[in-house]
Parts: sequence; C-alpha cells; structure tokens
Amino acid sequence: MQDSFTDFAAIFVYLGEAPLLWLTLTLGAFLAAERLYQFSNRFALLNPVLVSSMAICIVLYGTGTPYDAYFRGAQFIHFLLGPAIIVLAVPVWRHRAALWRARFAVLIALIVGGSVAGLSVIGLSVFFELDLEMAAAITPKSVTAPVAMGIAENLGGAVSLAALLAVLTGISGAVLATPLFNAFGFLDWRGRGFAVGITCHGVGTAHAFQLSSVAGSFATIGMALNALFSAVILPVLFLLIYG
Amino acid sequence: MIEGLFFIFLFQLVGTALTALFGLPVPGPVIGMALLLIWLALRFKTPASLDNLCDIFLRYLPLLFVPAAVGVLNYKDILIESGLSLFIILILSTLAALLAASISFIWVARHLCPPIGDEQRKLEPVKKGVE
Repeated sequence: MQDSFTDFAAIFVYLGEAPLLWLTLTLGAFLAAERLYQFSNRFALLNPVLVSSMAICIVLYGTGTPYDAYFRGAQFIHFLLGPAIIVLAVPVWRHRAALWRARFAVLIALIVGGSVAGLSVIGLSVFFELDLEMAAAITPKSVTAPVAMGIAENLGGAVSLAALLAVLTGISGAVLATPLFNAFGFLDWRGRGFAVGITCHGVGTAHAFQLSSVAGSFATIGMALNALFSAVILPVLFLLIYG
Repeated sequence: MIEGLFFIFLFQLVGTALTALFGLPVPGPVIGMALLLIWLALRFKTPASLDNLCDIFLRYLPLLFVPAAVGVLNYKDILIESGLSLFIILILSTLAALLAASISFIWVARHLCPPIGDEQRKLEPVKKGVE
C-alpha cells in the first residue's frame, strides 16, 4: 500500500513537471464544463470558462502545484489567443455591411458605454477606498488584457493583477449579460453583442459568438474600439478623480 | 489548414513587428487583425483555408481564456484581503456599462437602423401542453 502510494506520487511528480499533464487537464476540464453547461440548459452561472478555471484552481491548490508549473503546459493554449485575435478580422469582414449600416449606433454606444465603464469603476474605487495601486489595476478592467496591462502600468498599478482583473471582468460579463439582456427584453443582437464587447472584451466576445455570429462580430468591433477609446480617456478620468 | 495558419501567424508577426518598431500603444495582434482586414478588403474574398480555420477558432474561443483565468491562484492573498470590494466593484461596474452601452445602441438603432434578418433575436416558440 505504502509502496504503491509512493509510486503513484513519483509518477505524479514526474508528470507534473511535463507540460502534457496540465495541457490535457485544461482541455478535459473545459470539455467537461461545456457538457455541464449544455446539460444545465445554459445556466449562466455554469459558464464553461468560470467552471473549468475554478476546477483547475482546486486541482492545483490541492496538489500544491504552483501556477508557473501549470502554465508550462497551459501556455500552448494561451499562445493561441494572439492568432485568435487575428482571425476575428474574418467575421468582421463577413458582417461588414451590417456594421457599416449601424455605424452611428456604434459610435454613440462606444462613447456612452466606454465612459460609463470608466467612470463607474473609478467612482466605485473611491467609494470603497481602494489604494492607488489597486485602483490603477482595476480601472482598465473593461479593456482587452494586453491593452489593460499597458494602461495600468501608466497609472501606476500592478500589471499582472490588471490582466487578471480584466479576464475576471470578461467572465462576469459572460455570466451576467445574457440574463440581463433577456430580463430587459433586448432583441437586437447588434446592441447586445456590441455592449458585451465594450464591457467584457475577449471573454465576452467569445461568449457572444456562441450565441450569434452577428452579436460576435459587433462584440469584436466593440472590443477593438473600446481598447482605443479607453486608452485615451481612462488616464484623464483617473487623474481627474484620483490625482 | 496549414495555409490558413500560415496567414494568421504571418499577420500576427507583421503586427507584432510594427508595434515593436514604432512603439505603438496597441498590442501586436490588434494591428495584425487590422492588417488582415485591409488585406481581405483588397482581395474582396476570404481564402477558403482561412474561412474554415476561423470557424474552429470561434467555436473554441472561450477555452483560450482558461489559462489566464487560472492565474487567480497567484493572487489568493490579495483576493482574501480585499476580494469582496473588488468583486462588488467589478460586478456593479460591469452591469452599469452593459446597460449603458446596450440601451444607447438600441435607442439610436431604433431611429436610424432598425435590425433586419438575423440581427434580430428569434424567441423560441413556447412549448404548449408541456407541464
């Protein structure tokens, strides 16, 4: 018994060092979480990204595996985020006529949505008395992670925390958006998608594509435009309120 | 598939190189996406290899965010300390921004460009006689 346990532990330690274990676990956890999501009739709180990442966290915590060891395997999935952004040009091109037709709605919603995202997060940070470093890390939360890191750095926040808070915002939006929009009876896929892209960037866009390719394309445009818009207005708003 | 991957990596490479070269504030892949869009507009037709790959990427896009989300593990101390206020800020601000953006979009669209075809969500017919 003792022997077989130490054998198992030795095998686990050996596999834990190799990238294959964590790569396989990530794919397996995601597939299982997607099954669960479909099985639950797409219950919002059982969002596959939320469920699978929490499950992996529990496994890593339970086995005492540091994130860096996990990431050596998971980096092969993480790497595909860059190519995935490039590919988003294809659906935008497919829906170019619809996007051009809705250009005024896109412009107004960008200004209103982007401003509310920035003002609300800075206002709430003041209300909850966050220190400057923490506030600077959470301020760009509605901007896609690589741009959020750059903005947070300019404001004096922790870069990797900013990236994490941006991803968590994306997940929260992917969970909240559909029940919220259904409760309000919004039927326009363009407005639903665009709002999700502005607020919840990549994860929100990914969620939108699972529901409607029109929503996904408008989300892509929202994510890209808000990255530019926020990079300009967030430093100004932050200095006005926190400076 | 390899041809599609080649195009994608090529545009990412060029985008990343341009960002580094000119010190642009936008990440390389976003520049790469803009360049691919320009290329598609000039060509006016998406190569089949890219079209097929695109659908695979879109289908599994959520998966790609899982490794980053697991990064929460690195911040458990901060999250235990001030996680509740961060959580409340995050949820409230996300709800406010979602509503502001969607309501303003739909309000403008209703006057200027009402949804047509698949831009409008079809409500599933309510099943009758099923209790």
